[in-house]
Amino acid sequence: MMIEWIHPTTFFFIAAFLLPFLKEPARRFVQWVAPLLAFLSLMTVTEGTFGTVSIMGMPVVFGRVDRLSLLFGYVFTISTFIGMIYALHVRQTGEIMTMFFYAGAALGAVFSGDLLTLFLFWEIMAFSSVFLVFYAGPQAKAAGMRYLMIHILGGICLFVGTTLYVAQENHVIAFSAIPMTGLGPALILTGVLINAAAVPLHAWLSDAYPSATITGAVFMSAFTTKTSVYILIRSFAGVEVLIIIGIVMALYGAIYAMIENDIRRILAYGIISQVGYMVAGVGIGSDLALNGASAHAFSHILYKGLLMMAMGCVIFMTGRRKLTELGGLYKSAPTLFVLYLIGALSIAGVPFFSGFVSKSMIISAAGESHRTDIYLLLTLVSSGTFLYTGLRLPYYVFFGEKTSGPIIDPPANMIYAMVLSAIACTVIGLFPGLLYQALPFPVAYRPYTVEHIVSALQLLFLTAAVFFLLKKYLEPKKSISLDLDCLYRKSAPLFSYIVHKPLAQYEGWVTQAYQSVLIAPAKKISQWAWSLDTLVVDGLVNATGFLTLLESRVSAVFDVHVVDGAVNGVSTVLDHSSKKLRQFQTGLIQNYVLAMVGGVAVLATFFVIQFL
Amino acid sequence: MTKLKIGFCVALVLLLIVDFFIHKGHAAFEAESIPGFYAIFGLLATLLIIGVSKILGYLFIMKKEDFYDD
Repeated sequence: MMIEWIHPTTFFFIAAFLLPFLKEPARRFVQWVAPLLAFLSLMTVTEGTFGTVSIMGMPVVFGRVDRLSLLFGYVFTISTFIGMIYALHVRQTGEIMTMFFYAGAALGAVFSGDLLTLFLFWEIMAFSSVFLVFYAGPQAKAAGMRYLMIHILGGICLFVGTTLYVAQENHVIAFSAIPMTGLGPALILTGVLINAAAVPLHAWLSDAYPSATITGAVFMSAFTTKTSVYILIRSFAGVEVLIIIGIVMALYGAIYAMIENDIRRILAYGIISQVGYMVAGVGIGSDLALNGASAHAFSHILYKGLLMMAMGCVIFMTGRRKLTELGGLYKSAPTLFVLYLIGALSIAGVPFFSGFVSKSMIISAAGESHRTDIYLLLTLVSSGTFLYTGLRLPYYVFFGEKTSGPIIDPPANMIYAMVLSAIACTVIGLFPGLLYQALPFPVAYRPYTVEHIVSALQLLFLTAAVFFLLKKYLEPKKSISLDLDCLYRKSAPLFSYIVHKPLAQYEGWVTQAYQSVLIAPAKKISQWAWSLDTLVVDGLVNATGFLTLLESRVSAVFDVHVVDGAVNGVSTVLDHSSKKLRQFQTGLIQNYVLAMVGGVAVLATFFVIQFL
Repeated sequence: MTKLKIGFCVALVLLLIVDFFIHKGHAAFEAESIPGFYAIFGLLATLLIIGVSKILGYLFIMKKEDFYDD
């Protein structure tokens, strides 16, 4: 049988298992070659279904390859490649393994053709990604646990929802469009929305991502939310409520990003805001809107990765992560500023950068379906996006009056990774056809009309003008932002009161009942079992022990006289002959030469005698 | 810095002038074809976002950095 296609996850999981056994140059080699091979396997595959296995009579599909899964496959492997270059200097093998498991599972989810496989990879994603938070050190442990808790909840929603849905649909487990009827699909949608960081189920993202390692946050910003967008596009296209959820996400993220002080948390709120565009696009549900959501996911992964990498670089260089403690970095790191700026212009939708060609598809789709309200609200958030990532954040990090303290130069691989991302963002912006031809539906959309460019530039110019005029009112403040994670972070006092008062009382009663109903009879039974144990079981054990002892004595006698005798005999002979042989070894070269000459003479004599 | 400011203002004025001569074929709604619509929209949008985030920030969102430390 010929192997038709190697699933990209295979490369990542093999790489993860290999890493602990490899030494330095080989380890780094595997780190960037594995994603490259995965990308090549996607470039050469044709659409179709691969790797179908039957488990308990149900067809389980590991490789459903179509335009949509390929598009997400491309961007997931590209971003893993760039992320791995960014992480080449990381010495903690466990962290790199975690990245491979996480990215591999995201690819597994994208190519899964049924809901069971999807659930499997979904859980691997959650349980591997949390280690990217744990590796950041003890101060990140609590945030990691909160992240895990929410994702376990999301996993339960998905699992229960899938079970109900499969039962309702007569055991069809195919991962395709899911009609919104009954509790099952509603639970699946809830689980997916938790992973998409939909407001009000979003607080895990802005809580955990800024707590992750510098390299880990780059990976996290790519996979979890975009896998959810993929599931939404495939299964929940045109579900009206997603429009409202998406708009709320877009606005909510933008407002929090304007207030926040932690540089990576600003970007995390930016993710919520940008994923809002995609979710709204899925809700609109037209071909143009779904194309837009897919395209925006693609360009978002690249530019958000670039922004995360740049801010990770700032943290690496300065050890600081708050706007109030940073400033003036442009003087010491102008390249970093330019790279960050390319990411910022992309996310802001400046013409000739990637965000412009993808975001505008979603906005135009809203216009085409005569939803002027959505059209204007998403345009408003575009202005906000430029304000928080393109102006406020870079101004206070790279310029401003403050300084950032002593600086450590970042390793070159970090810069190379950002250069790659920046090139990708610019290429997509300049040649949108490259991205458009890979979209799930045929594209008739043209982003570059004079009208569109002029209106986008007017919007952005006025946003910039207002920022620079009101700058002195926008100084960042030392603060943290109260978000809905306070519901499970600040509830500890209330929770401990409930545990101590009513619960302790209740536990007392239960213990009492337990004592008389279960423990007393259990003691009687165990006493009886003990006597059985001493008399019967111990007797058997002792008898076996006695026999073993006897047998070992017999074999000892055999050992001493027979085996040892033989061994000693052999060694005596060896000892004796080695003493004799040692006399040949004098260490003097002339002796050896003489011996050789003698040997040659003997051989010569032998030949001469033969020919005679 | 002043050069940058002048350049910025010139570009903005050009964008507004050009807008009078563009045929708006793809207008999603009528107001969109008013010249300079997006300049006005951008101005109002930015002011709105700054205003709303400031108000919500001071009323509810911004907390002291030791808020979660017990």
